Amino acid sequence: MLIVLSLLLYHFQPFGDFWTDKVLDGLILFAAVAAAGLATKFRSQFHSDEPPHRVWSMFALGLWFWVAGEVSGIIYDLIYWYAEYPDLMITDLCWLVGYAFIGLALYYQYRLIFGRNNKRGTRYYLALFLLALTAAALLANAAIQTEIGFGYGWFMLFITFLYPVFDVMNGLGALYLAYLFGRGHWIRPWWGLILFALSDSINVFYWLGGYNYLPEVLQPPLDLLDLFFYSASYLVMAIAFLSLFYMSQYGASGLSNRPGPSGNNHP
Amino acid sequence: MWRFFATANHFPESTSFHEVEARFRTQKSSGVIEKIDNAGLHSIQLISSGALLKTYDLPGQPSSSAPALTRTHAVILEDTAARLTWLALESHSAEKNSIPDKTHWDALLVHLRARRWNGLLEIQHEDSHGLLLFKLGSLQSDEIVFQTSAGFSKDPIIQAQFPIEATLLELGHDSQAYQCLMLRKGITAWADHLLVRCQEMIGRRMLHTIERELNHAIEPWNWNIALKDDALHDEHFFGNTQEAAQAYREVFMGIGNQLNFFIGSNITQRILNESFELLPTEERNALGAQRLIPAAFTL
Repeated sequence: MLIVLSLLLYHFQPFGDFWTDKVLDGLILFAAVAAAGLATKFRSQFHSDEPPHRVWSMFALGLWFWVAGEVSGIIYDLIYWYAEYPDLMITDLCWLVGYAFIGLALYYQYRLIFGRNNKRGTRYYLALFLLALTAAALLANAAIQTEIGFGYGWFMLFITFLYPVFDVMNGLGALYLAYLFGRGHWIRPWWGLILFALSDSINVFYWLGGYNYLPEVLQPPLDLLDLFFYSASYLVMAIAFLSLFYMSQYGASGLSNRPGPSGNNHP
Repeated sequence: MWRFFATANHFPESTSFHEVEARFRTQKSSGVIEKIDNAGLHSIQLISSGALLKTYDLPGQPSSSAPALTRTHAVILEDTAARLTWLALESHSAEKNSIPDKTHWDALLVHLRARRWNGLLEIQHEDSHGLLLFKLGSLQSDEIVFQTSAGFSKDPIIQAQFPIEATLLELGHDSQAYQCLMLRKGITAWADHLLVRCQEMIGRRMLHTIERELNHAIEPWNWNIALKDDALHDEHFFGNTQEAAQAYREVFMGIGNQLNFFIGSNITQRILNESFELLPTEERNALGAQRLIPAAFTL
Protein backbone atom coordinates (compact mmCIF):
# COMPACT_ATOMS: atom_id res chain seq x y z
CA MET A 1 0.00 0.00 0.00
CA LEU A 2 2.82 2.35 0.92
CA ILE A 3 4.51 1.69 -2.41
CA VAL A 4 1.28 2.17 -4.39
CA LEU A 5 0.56 5.39 -2.48
CA SER A 6 4.08 6.68 -3.22
CA LEU A 7 3.77 5.85 -6.91
CA LEU A 8 0.35 7.54 -7.19
CA LEU A 9 1.61 10.65 -5.37
CA TYR A 10 4.66 10.81 -7.57
CA HIS A 11 2.67 10.38 -10.75
CA PHE A 12 -0.23 12.76 -10.02
CA GLN A 13 1.62 15.32 -7.83
CA PRO A 14 -1.65 16.27 -6.05
CA PHE A 15 -0.07 18.84 -3.66
CA GLY A 16 2.26 20.54 -6.11
CA ASP A 17 6.01 19.90 -6.49
CA PHE A 18 7.23 20.89 -3.08
CA TRP A 19 4.60 19.34 -0.79
CA THR A 20 4.26 16.16 -2.81
CA ASP A 21 8.01 15.74 -2.47
CA LYS A 22 7.77 16.26 1.31
CA VAL A 23 4.94 13.74 1.64
CA LEU A 24 6.97 11.21 -0.40
CA ASP A 25 10.01 11.91 1.78
CA GLY A 26 7.86 11.27 4.85
CA LEU A 27 6.60 7.94 3.48
CA ILE A 28 10.11 6.79 2.59
CA LEU A 29 11.40 7.93 5.97
CA PHE A 30 8.67 5.83 7.61
CA ALA A 31 9.85 2.78 5.60
CA ALA A 32 13.50 3.49 6.46
CA VAL A 33 12.78 3.84 10.20
CA ALA A 34 10.72 0.63 10.09
CA ALA A 35 13.61 -1.24 8.44
CA ALA A 36 16.22 0.10 10.87
CA GLY A 37 14.00 -0.39 13.92
CA LEU A 38 13.10 -3.96 13.01
CA ALA A 39 16.73 -4.75 12.16
CA THR A 40 17.66 -3.54 15.64
CA LYS A 41 14.88 -5.64 17.17
CA PHE A 42 16.02 -8.71 15.23
CA ARG A 43 19.62 -8.09 16.27
CA SER A 44 18.54 -8.19 19.92
CA GLN A 45 17.77 -11.90 19.40
CA PHE A 46 21.47 -12.65 19.50
CA HIS A 47 23.79 -12.56 22.44
CA SER A 48 26.94 -10.50 21.89
CA ASP A 49 29.13 -13.64 21.80
CA GLU A 50 27.16 -15.15 18.90
CA PRO A 51 28.58 -14.70 15.38
CA PRO A 52 25.28 -13.48 13.80
CA HIS A 53 25.20 -10.64 16.36
CA ARG A 54 28.04 -8.92 14.47
CA VAL A 55 26.34 -9.35 11.11
CA TRP A 56 23.02 -7.87 12.14
CA SER A 57 24.55 -5.18 14.39
CA MET A 58 26.46 -3.82 11.41
CA PHE A 59 23.39 -4.12 9.21
CA ALA A 60 21.20 -2.26 11.73
CA LEU A 61 23.87 0.41 12.26
CA GLY A 62 24.15 0.90 8.50
CA LEU A 63 20.40 1.30 8.21
CA TRP A 64 20.31 3.89 11.01
CA PHE A 65 22.94 5.89 9.11
CA TRP A 66 20.69 5.71 6.07
CA VAL A 67 17.77 6.94 8.20
CA ALA A 68 20.02 9.84 9.26
CA GLY A 69 20.75 10.36 5.55
CA GLU A 70 17.01 10.49 4.80
CA VAL A 71 16.37 12.97 7.63
CA SER A 72 19.26 15.22 6.63
CA GLY A 73 18.10 15.00 3.00
CA ILE A 74 14.67 16.28 4.03
CA ILE A 75 16.27 19.13 5.98
CA TYR A 76 18.55 20.08 3.07
CA ASP A 77 15.52 20.01 0.77
CA LEU A 78 13.69 22.43 3.06
CA ILE A 79 16.66 24.78 3.22
CA TYR A 80 17.92 24.60 -0.36
CA TRP A 81 14.73 23.93 -2.33
CA TYR A 82 15.06 27.22 -4.15
CA ALA A 83 18.86 27.47 -3.90
CA GLU A 84 21.93 25.55 -4.99
CA TYR A 85 22.85 22.56 -2.83
CA PRO A 86 26.37 22.53 -1.30
CA ASP A 87 28.98 20.20 -2.83
CA LEU A 88 29.41 17.99 0.19
CA MET A 89 26.41 17.39 2.42
CA ILE A 90 25.94 15.54 5.70
CA THR A 91 23.52 13.38 3.74
CA ASP A 92 26.38 12.02 1.64
CA LEU A 93 28.45 11.21 4.71
CA CYS A 94 25.52 9.39 6.31
CA TRP A 95 24.89 7.40 3.14
CA LEU A 96 28.50 6.46 2.62
CA VAL A 97 29.09 5.47 6.25
CA GLY A 98 25.87 3.46 6.05
CA TYR A 99 27.22 1.67 2.97
CA ALA A 100 30.46 0.91 4.80
CA PHE A 101 28.62 -0.69 7.73
CA ILE A 102 26.28 -2.70 5.53
CA GLY A 103 29.27 -3.83 3.47
CA LEU A 104 30.88 -4.96 6.71
CA ALA A 105 27.71 -6.89 7.60
CA LEU A 106 27.89 -8.56 4.19
CA TYR A 107 31.54 -9.40 4.77
CA TYR A 108 30.79 -10.93 8.18
CA GLN A 109 27.99 -12.97 6.65
CA TYR A 110 30.39 -14.38 4.04
CA ARG A 111 32.93 -15.16 6.74
CA LEU A 112 30.27 -17.12 8.61
CA ILE A 113 29.70 -19.24 5.53
CA PHE A 114 33.22 -19.68 4.17
CA GLY A 115 35.83 -18.38 6.55
CA ARG A 116 34.90 -20.25 9.69
CA ASN A 117 38.46 -21.09 10.66
CA ASN A 118 40.42 -18.17 9.33
CA LYS A 119 41.67 -15.58 11.75
CA ARG A 120 42.31 -12.82 9.23
CA GLY A 121 39.66 -10.64 10.81
CA THR A 122 38.55 -7.57 8.92
CA ARG A 123 41.78 -7.06 6.96
CA TYR A 124 40.16 -8.35 3.75
CA TYR A 125 37.26 -6.00 4.23
CA LEU A 126 39.61 -3.03 4.62
CA ALA A 127 41.32 -4.09 1.40
CA LEU A 128 37.94 -4.22 -0.38
CA PHE A 129 37.03 -0.82 1.05
CA LEU A 130 40.29 0.67 -0.24
CA LEU A 131 39.61 -0.95 -3.60
CA ALA A 132 36.22 0.82 -3.74
CA LEU A 133 37.83 4.16 -2.89
CA THR A 134 40.48 3.62 -5.57
CA ALA A 135 37.84 2.71 -8.17
CA ALA A 136 35.83 5.85 -7.33
CA ALA A 137 38.99 8.00 -7.55
CA LEU A 138 39.89 6.52 -10.95
CA LEU A 139 36.35 7.11 -12.22
CA ALA A 140 36.48 10.73 -10.96
CA ASN A 141 39.78 11.25 -12.85
CA ALA A 142 38.29 9.68 -15.98
CA ALA A 143 35.19 11.89 -15.69
CA ILE A 144 37.33 15.01 -15.51
CA GLN A 145 39.45 13.93 -18.49
CA THR A 146 36.41 13.04 -20.61
CA GLU A 147 34.52 16.14 -19.43
CA ILE A 148 31.51 14.07 -18.30
CA GLY A 149 31.70 15.85 -14.99
CA PHE A 150 32.19 19.28 -16.48
CA GLY A 151 31.63 22.01 -13.90
CA TYR A 152 32.10 19.72 -10.87
CA GLY A 153 35.18 19.51 -8.62
CA TRP A 154 37.22 16.30 -8.29
CA PHE A 155 36.01 15.65 -4.72
CA MET A 156 32.37 16.11 -5.70
CA LEU A 157 32.85 13.62 -8.56
CA PHE A 158 34.69 11.21 -6.25
CA ILE A 159 31.78 11.23 -3.77
CA THR A 160 29.29 10.87 -6.60
CA PHE A 161 31.12 7.84 -8.02
CA LEU A 162 31.37 6.22 -4.61
CA TYR A 163 27.62 5.57 -4.70
CA PRO A 164 27.58 3.34 -7.80
CA VAL A 165 30.85 1.67 -6.75
CA PHE A 166 29.43 0.76 -3.33
CA ASP A 167 26.16 -0.21 -4.98
CA VAL A 168 27.89 -2.56 -7.38
CA MET A 169 29.99 -4.14 -4.63
CA ASN A 170 27.15 -4.54 -2.16
CA GLY A 171 24.68 -5.49 -4.88
CA LEU A 172 26.93 -8.19 -6.33
CA GLY A 173 27.76 -9.43 -2.83
CA ALA A 174 24.07 -9.64 -2.00
CA LEU A 175 23.30 -11.33 -5.33
CA TYR A 176 25.82 -14.11 -4.72
CA LEU A 177 24.51 -14.45 -1.19
CA ALA A 178 21.02 -14.82 -2.70
CA TYR A 179 22.37 -17.67 -4.84
CA LEU A 180 23.94 -19.32 -1.78
CA PHE A 181 20.89 -18.98 0.47
CA GLY A 182 18.54 -19.88 -2.37
CA ARG A 183 15.00 -19.98 -1.04
CA GLY A 184 16.10 -19.81 2.59
CA HIS A 185 14.50 -17.03 4.61
CA TRP A 186 17.88 -15.81 5.88
CA ILE A 187 18.51 -14.06 2.54
CA ARG A 188 15.44 -11.85 2.64
CA PRO A 189 16.93 -8.81 4.42
CA TRP A 190 19.70 -8.86 1.80
CA TRP A 191 17.18 -8.62 -1.02
CA GLY A 192 16.79 -4.97 0.00
CA LEU A 193 20.40 -4.31 -1.02
CA ILE A 194 19.76 -5.72 -4.49
CA LEU A 195 16.75 -3.42 -4.86
CA PHE A 196 18.87 -0.45 -3.72
CA ALA A 197 21.46 -1.29 -6.34
CA LEU A 198 18.74 -1.42 -9.02
CA SER A 199 17.31 1.91 -7.88
CA ASP A 200 20.72 3.57 -7.82
CA SER A 201 21.62 2.18 -11.22
CA ILE A 202 18.68 4.13 -12.67
CA ASN A 203 19.98 7.24 -10.87
CA VAL A 204 23.46 6.72 -12.27
CA PHE A 205 22.00 6.21 -15.74
CA TYR A 206 20.18 9.53 -15.36
CA TRP A 207 23.24 11.30 -13.98
CA LEU A 208 25.43 10.07 -16.86
CA GLY A 209 22.96 11.61 -19.27
CA GLY A 210 21.30 8.35 -20.29
CA TYR A 211 17.87 10.00 -20.26
CA ASN A 212 18.97 12.07 -23.28
CA TYR A 213 18.97 8.89 -25.35
CA LEU A 214 15.51 7.80 -24.20
CA PRO A 215 12.23 8.86 -25.76
CA GLU A 216 10.44 11.28 -23.44
CA VAL A 217 7.57 8.89 -22.97
CA LEU A 218 9.86 6.33 -21.29
CA GLN A 219 11.27 8.73 -18.72
CA PRO A 220 8.32 8.88 -16.26
CA PRO A 221 7.99 5.04 -16.10
CA LEU A 222 11.73 4.83 -15.39
CA ASP A 223 11.33 7.40 -12.59
CA LEU A 224 8.42 5.42 -11.20
CA LEU A 225 10.49 2.24 -11.37
CA ASP A 226 13.29 4.00 -9.52
CA LEU A 227 10.87 5.13 -6.79
CA PHE A 228 9.37 1.63 -6.66
CA PHE A 229 12.76 -0.06 -6.14
CA TYR A 230 13.82 2.56 -3.61
CA SER A 231 10.78 2.37 -1.35
CA ALA A 232 10.47 -1.41 -1.83
CA SER A 233 14.05 -1.94 -0.68
CA TYR A 234 13.34 -0.54 2.79
CA LEU A 235 10.01 -2.31 3.01
CA VAL A 236 11.46 -5.66 1.94
CA MET A 237 14.08 -5.36 4.67
CA ALA A 238 11.49 -4.34 7.26
CA ILE A 239 9.16 -7.24 6.42
CA ALA A 240 12.06 -9.70 6.28
CA PHE A 241 13.32 -8.67 9.72
CA LEU A 242 9.81 -8.81 11.15
CA SER A 243 9.19 -12.32 9.82
CA LEU A 244 12.61 -13.56 10.99
CA PHE A 245 11.96 -12.08 14.42
CA TYR A 246 8.65 -13.92 14.72
CA MET A 247 10.20 -17.12 13.38
CA SER A 248 12.80 -17.00 16.11
CA GLN A 249 10.00 -16.68 18.64
CA TYR A 250 7.42 -19.12 17.31
CA GLY A 251 9.26 -21.27 14.78
CA ALA A 252 8.77 -21.72 11.06
CA SER A 253 5.56 -23.73 11.23
CA GLY A 254 4.02 -21.20 13.60
CA LEU A 255 4.03 -18.66 10.77
CA SER A 256 2.93 -20.72 7.81
CA ASN A 257 0.63 -23.49 6.81
CA ARG A 258 3.32 -25.61 5.25
CA PRO A 259 3.50 -29.25 6.41
CA GLY A 260 5.56 -30.18 9.45
CA PRO A 261 9.33 -30.30 9.10
CA SER A 262 9.66 -33.89 8.00
CA GLY A 263 6.49 -34.26 6.02
CA ASN A 264 6.69 -38.02 6.59
CA ASN A 265 4.02 -40.25 7.98
CA HIS A 266 3.91 -40.67 11.67
CA PRO A 267 3.25 -44.11 13.16
CA MET B 1 23.50 -67.31 40.13
CA TRP B 2 21.83 -64.70 37.91
CA ARG B 3 23.89 -63.21 35.11
CA PHE B 4 22.56 -59.61 35.11
CA PHE B 5 21.69 -57.29 37.97
CA ALA B 6 21.20 -60.14 40.44
CA THR B 7 20.07 -58.03 43.37
CA ALA B 8 17.49 -56.03 41.42
CA ASN B 9 14.07 -57.17 42.49
CA HIS B 10 11.41 -55.91 40.11
CA PHE B 11 9.18 -58.98 40.30
CA PRO B 12 8.40 -61.18 43.34
CA GLU B 13 9.92 -64.67 43.21
CA SER B 14 6.43 -66.13 42.97
CA THR B 15 5.73 -64.39 39.64
CA SER B 16 5.53 -66.97 36.87
CA PHE B 17 7.56 -66.69 33.70
CA HIS B 18 4.45 -66.12 31.56
CA GLU B 19 3.19 -63.48 33.95
CA VAL B 20 6.51 -61.66 33.69
CA GLU B 21 6.44 -61.83 29.89
CA ALA B 22 2.89 -60.50 29.84
CA ARG B 23 3.84 -57.64 32.14
CA PHE B 24 6.70 -56.61 29.83
CA ARG B 25 4.39 -56.81 26.84
CA THR B 26 1.56 -54.74 28.30
CA GLN B 27 3.88 -52.10 29.74
CA LYS B 28 6.02 -52.09 26.57
CA SER B 29 9.06 -52.28 28.82
CA SER B 30 12.60 -53.29 27.96
CA GLY B 31 14.72 -55.55 30.09
CA VAL B 32 15.94 -59.09 30.69
CA ILE B 33 14.17 -62.23 31.83
CA GLU B 34 16.51 -64.93 33.07
CA LYS B 35 15.23 -68.43 33.50
CA ILE B 36 16.77 -71.58 34.99
CA ASP B 37 14.59 -74.53 34.22
CA ASN B 38 14.38 -77.77 36.16
CA ALA B 39 17.02 -79.31 33.90
CA GLY B 40 19.38 -76.58 35.04
CA LEU B 41 19.49 -74.80 31.70
CA HIS B 42 20.03 -71.09 32.08
CA SER B 43 18.60 -68.84 29.36
CA ILE B 44 18.21 -65.11 29.02
CA GLN B 45 15.52 -63.34 27.08
CA LEU B 46 16.23 -59.78 26.04
CA ILE B 47 13.06 -57.75 25.70
CA SER B 48 12.82 -54.53 23.70
CA SER B 49 9.72 -52.37 24.19
CA GLY B 50 7.67 -55.37 25.27
CA ALA B 51 8.75 -57.65 22.40
CA LEU B 52 11.24 -60.48 22.55
CA LEU B 53 14.46 -59.42 20.83
CA LYS B 54 16.55 -62.55 21.27
CA THR B 55 17.00 -65.55 23.56
CA TYR B 56 20.50 -66.47 24.72
CA ASP B 57 21.34 -69.87 26.23
CA LEU B 58 24.15 -69.68 28.72
CA PRO B 59 26.53 -72.61 28.50
CA GLY B 60 27.90 -74.90 31.21
CA GLN B 61 25.11 -75.12 33.76
CA PRO B 62 25.49 -78.19 36.04
CA SER B 63 22.32 -80.20 35.97
CA SER B 64 22.97 -81.53 39.48
CA SER B 65 22.17 -78.10 40.99
CA ALA B 66 18.99 -77.76 38.99
CA PRO B 67 16.05 -76.35 40.95
CA ALA B 68 12.93 -78.45 41.37
CA LEU B 69 10.91 -75.76 39.64
CA THR B 70 11.78 -73.27 36.93
CA ARG B 71 13.06 -70.08 38.49
CA THR B 72 12.79 -66.66 36.92
CA HIS B 73 14.62 -63.39 37.49
CA ALA B 74 13.37 -60.41 35.53
CA VAL B 75 14.61 -56.86 35.51
CA ILE B 76 13.01 -53.88 33.82
CA LEU B 77 15.75 -51.73 32.35
CA GLU B 78 16.06 -48.16 31.21
CA ASP B 79 17.00 -47.90 27.53
CA THR B 80 20.70 -47.26 28.20
CA ALA B 81 20.95 -50.23 30.54
CA ALA B 82 19.09 -52.43 28.06
CA ARG B 83 21.45 -51.37 25.25
CA LEU B 84 24.52 -52.17 27.33
CA THR B 85 23.06 -55.51 28.39
CA TRP B 86 22.49 -56.36 24.73
CA LEU B 87 26.07 -55.38 23.92
CA ALA B 88 27.31 -57.57 26.79
CA LEU B 89 25.29 -60.52 25.51
CA GLU B 90 26.74 -60.04 22.02
CA SER B 91 30.33 -59.73 23.28
CA HIS B 92 32.80 -62.31 24.41
CA SER B 93 34.86 -62.34 27.54
CA ALA B 94 38.49 -61.50 26.88
CA GLU B 95 40.13 -60.99 30.23
CA LYS B 96 39.14 -61.24 33.89
CA ASN B 97 40.76 -59.15 36.60
CA SER B 98 40.33 -59.21 40.32
CA ILE B 99 40.50 -55.68 41.62
CA PRO B 100 41.16 -55.59 45.37
CA ASP B 101 41.21 -51.81 45.85
CA LYS B 102 41.07 -48.39 44.24
CA THR B 103 44.78 -48.35 43.39
CA HIS B 104 44.36 -51.41 41.19
CA TRP B 105 41.20 -49.95 39.69
CA ASP B 106 43.04 -46.77 38.73
CA ALA B 107 45.87 -48.85 37.29
CA LEU B 108 43.37 -50.76 35.16
CA LEU B 109 41.91 -47.50 33.82
CA VAL B 110 45.40 -46.23 32.96
CA HIS B 111 46.16 -49.53 31.24
CA LEU B 112 42.96 -49.37 29.17
CA ARG B 113 43.69 -45.79 28.18
CA ALA B 114 47.21 -46.68 27.12
CA ARG B 115 45.86 -49.55 25.00
CA ARG B 116 43.18 -47.25 23.53
CA TRP B 117 40.89 -50.11 24.30
CA ASN B 118 37.39 -50.41 22.84
CA GLY B 119 34.92 -52.61 24.64
CA LEU B 120 32.65 -53.18 27.55
CA LEU B 121 33.92 -53.47 31.10
CA GLU B 122 31.73 -55.57 33.33
CA ILE B 123 32.03 -55.05 37.07
CA GLN B 124 30.72 -57.66 39.46
CA HIS B 125 30.47 -57.61 43.20
CA GLU B 126 28.30 -59.72 45.45
CA ASP B 127 25.58 -57.07 45.66
CA SER B 128 26.27 -54.92 42.59
CA HIS B 129 26.73 -55.19 38.87
CA GLY B 130 27.87 -52.65 36.32
CA LEU B 131 28.53 -52.28 32.61
CA LEU B 132 30.79 -49.50 31.33
CA LEU B 133 31.56 -48.75 27.69
CA PHE B 134 35.06 -47.67 26.66
CA LYS B 135 36.03 -46.05 23.40
CA LEU B 136 39.70 -45.54 22.52
CA GLY B 137 40.51 -46.13 26.16
CA SER B 138 38.11 -43.50 27.48
CA LEU B 139 35.09 -44.25 29.60
CA GLN B 140 31.95 -43.08 27.80
CA SER B 141 30.10 -41.16 30.47
CA ASP B 142 26.72 -41.60 28.78
CA GLU B 143 27.13 -45.37 28.42
CA ILE B 144 27.26 -46.58 31.99
CA VAL B 145 24.85 -48.62 34.05
CA PHE B 146 25.54 -49.56 37.63
CA GLN B 147 23.16 -51.46 39.84
CA THR B 148 23.39 -51.85 43.59
CA SER B 149 20.85 -52.76 46.23
CA ALA B 150 19.94 -49.05 46.22
CA GLY B 151 18.89 -49.25 42.57
CA PHE B 152 20.23 -48.28 39.17
CA SER B 153 22.64 -45.46 38.62
CA LYS B 154 24.85 -44.04 35.86
CA ASP B 155 27.70 -43.41 38.27
CA PRO B 156 30.16 -46.21 38.86
CA ILE B 157 30.35 -45.98 42.66
CA ILE B 158 33.44 -48.08 42.78
CA GLN B 159 35.16 -47.04 46.01
CA ALA B 160 32.63 -48.61 48.32
CA GLN B 161 32.44 -51.84 46.36
CA PHE B 162 35.95 -53.33 46.47
CA PRO B 163 36.99 -56.02 45.92
CA ILE B 164 35.41 -56.44 42.49
CA GLU B 165 35.69 -58.68 39.48
CA ALA B 166 36.32 -56.68 36.30
CA THR B 167 35.79 -58.52 33.03
CA LEU B 168 36.85 -57.03 29.73
CA LEU B 169 34.31 -57.88 27.04
CA GLU B 170 35.35 -57.62 23.40
CA LEU B 171 32.55 -56.31 21.25
CA GLY B 172 31.32 -58.46 18.39
CA HIS B 173 31.69 -56.11 15.43
CA ASP B 174 29.25 -58.05 13.26
CA SER B 175 26.48 -58.02 15.81
CA GLN B 176 23.41 -55.82 15.46
CA ALA B 177 24.12 -54.48 18.96
CA TYR B 178 27.50 -53.16 17.84
CA GLN B 179 26.14 -51.82 14.54
CA CYS B 180 23.41 -49.98 16.45
CA LEU B 181 26.07 -48.55 18.77
CA MET B 182 28.09 -47.30 15.79
CA LEU B 183 24.99 -45.79 14.21
CA ARG B 184 24.04 -44.05 17.42
CA LYS B 185 27.55 -42.74 18.02
CA GLY B 186 27.78 -41.58 14.42
CA ILE B 187 24.43 -39.86 14.29
CA THR B 188 24.81 -38.10 17.64
CA ALA B 189 28.32 -36.90 16.78
CA TRP B 190 27.12 -35.73 13.35
CA ALA B 191 24.16 -33.91 14.88
CA ASP B 192 26.40 -32.30 17.50
CA HIS B 193 28.83 -30.93 14.89
CA LEU B 194 25.93 -29.86 12.69
CA LEU B 195 24.00 -28.09 15.42
CA VAL B 196 27.08 -26.20 16.58
CA ARG B 197 27.57 -24.99 12.99
CA CYS B 198 23.87 -24.08 12.74
CA GLN B 199 24.14 -22.12 15.93
CA GLU B 200 26.99 -20.14 14.41
CA MET B 201 24.85 -19.39 11.35
CA ILE B 202 21.46 -18.59 12.85
CA GLY B 203 22.06 -18.05 16.56
CA ARG B 204 21.07 -19.84 19.72
CA ARG B 205 17.50 -18.67 20.00
CA MET B 206 16.56 -19.64 16.45
CA LEU B 207 18.25 -23.01 16.91
CA HIS B 208 16.33 -23.65 20.11
CA THR B 209 13.11 -22.83 18.28
CA ILE B 210 14.07 -25.35 15.59
CA GLU B 211 14.89 -27.94 18.27
CA ARG B 212 11.53 -27.36 19.91
CA GLU B 213 9.73 -27.81 16.58
CA LEU B 214 11.64 -30.98 15.76
CA ASN B 215 11.02 -32.49 19.19
CA HIS B 216 7.34 -31.78 18.71
CA ALA B 217 7.42 -33.37 15.24
CA ILE B 218 9.03 -36.63 16.40
CA GLU B 219 6.99 -36.90 19.59
CA PRO B 220 4.36 -39.25 18.11
CA TRP B 221 7.03 -41.88 17.47
CA ASN B 222 7.73 -42.25 21.20
CA TRP B 223 11.45 -42.52 20.62
CA ASN B 224 13.66 -41.67 23.51
CA ILE B 225 15.38 -39.09 21.31
CA ALA B 226 15.46 -35.34 21.75
CA LEU B 227 17.33 -32.31 20.51
CA LYS B 228 18.37 -30.12 23.38
CA ASP B 229 21.07 -27.53 24.03
CA ASP B 230 22.68 -27.83 20.57
CA ALA B 231 22.98 -31.62 20.80
CA LEU B 232 21.08 -34.76 19.87
CA HIS B 233 20.33 -36.92 22.90
CA ASP B 234 19.54 -40.48 21.90
CA GLU B 235 18.70 -42.79 24.79
CA HIS B 236 16.48 -45.11 22.77
CA PHE B 237 16.99 -48.86 22.72
CA PHE B 238 16.60 -49.90 19.10
CA GLY B 239 16.49 -53.63 18.51
CA ASN B 240 17.98 -53.54 15.01
CA THR B 241 19.81 -51.21 12.66
CA GLN B 242 16.85 -50.72 10.30
CA GLU B 243 14.66 -49.41 13.08
CA ALA B 244 17.46 -47.13 14.31
CA ALA B 245 18.20 -45.90 10.79
CA GLN B 246 14.52 -45.12 10.21
CA ALA B 247 14.42 -43.00 13.36
CA TYR B 248 17.64 -41.17 12.56
CA ARG B 249 16.51 -40.58 8.99
CA GLU B 250 13.32 -39.01 10.27
CA VAL B 251 15.20 -36.77 12.70
CA PHE B 252 17.72 -35.68 10.07
CA MET B 253 15.01 -35.12 7.46
CA GLY B 254 13.44 -32.78 9.99
CA ILE B 255 16.73 -30.98 10.62
CA GLY B 256 17.42 -30.78 6.88
CA ASN B 257 13.96 -29.36 6.13
CA GLN B 258 14.21 -26.77 8.87
CA LEU B 259 17.65 -25.68 7.71
CA ASN B 260 16.50 -25.56 4.09
CA PHE B 261 13.71 -23.30 5.21
CA PHE B 262 16.04 -20.87 6.98
CA ILE B 263 19.39 -20.96 5.19
CA GLY B 264 18.51 -22.66 1.89
CA SER B 265 19.62 -25.92 0.36
CA ASN B 266 23.12 -24.84 -0.79
CA ILE B 267 24.34 -23.87 2.65
CA THR B 268 22.47 -26.72 4.32
CA GLN B 269 24.25 -29.15 2.00
CA ARG B 270 27.53 -27.44 2.73
CA ILE B 271 27.29 -27.68 6.52
CA LEU B 272 25.89 -31.22 6.38
CA ASN B 273 28.99 -32.20 4.37
CA GLU B 274 31.37 -30.27 6.62
CA SER B 275 30.02 -31.88 9.77
CA PHE B 276 29.84 -35.38 8.22
CA GLU B 277 33.51 -35.17 7.24
CA LEU B 278 34.44 -34.61 10.89
CA LEU B 279 33.21 -38.08 11.90
CA PRO B 280 35.60 -40.99 12.49
CA THR B 281 35.76 -43.38 9.52
CA GLU B 282 34.05 -46.30 11.25
CA GLU B 283 31.05 -44.22 12.25
CA ARG B 284 30.86 -42.59 8.82
CA ASN B 285 30.84 -46.04 7.23
CA ALA B 286 28.11 -47.24 9.57
CA LEU B 287 25.95 -44.25 8.61
CA GLY B 288 26.78 -44.64 4.93
CA ALA B 289 25.69 -48.28 4.98
CA GLN B 290 22.21 -47.08 5.98
CA ARG B 291 22.23 -44.23 3.45
CA LEU B 292 22.41 -41.72 6.28
CA ILE B 293 24.54 -39.32 4.23
CA PRO B 294 24.40 -35.55 3.60
CA ALA B 295 22.85 -35.89 0.13
CA ALA B 296 19.83 -37.65 1.63
CA PHE B 297 18.78 -34.67 3.72
CA THR B 298 18.69 -31.71 1.38
CA LEU B 299 16.09 -30.82 -1.20
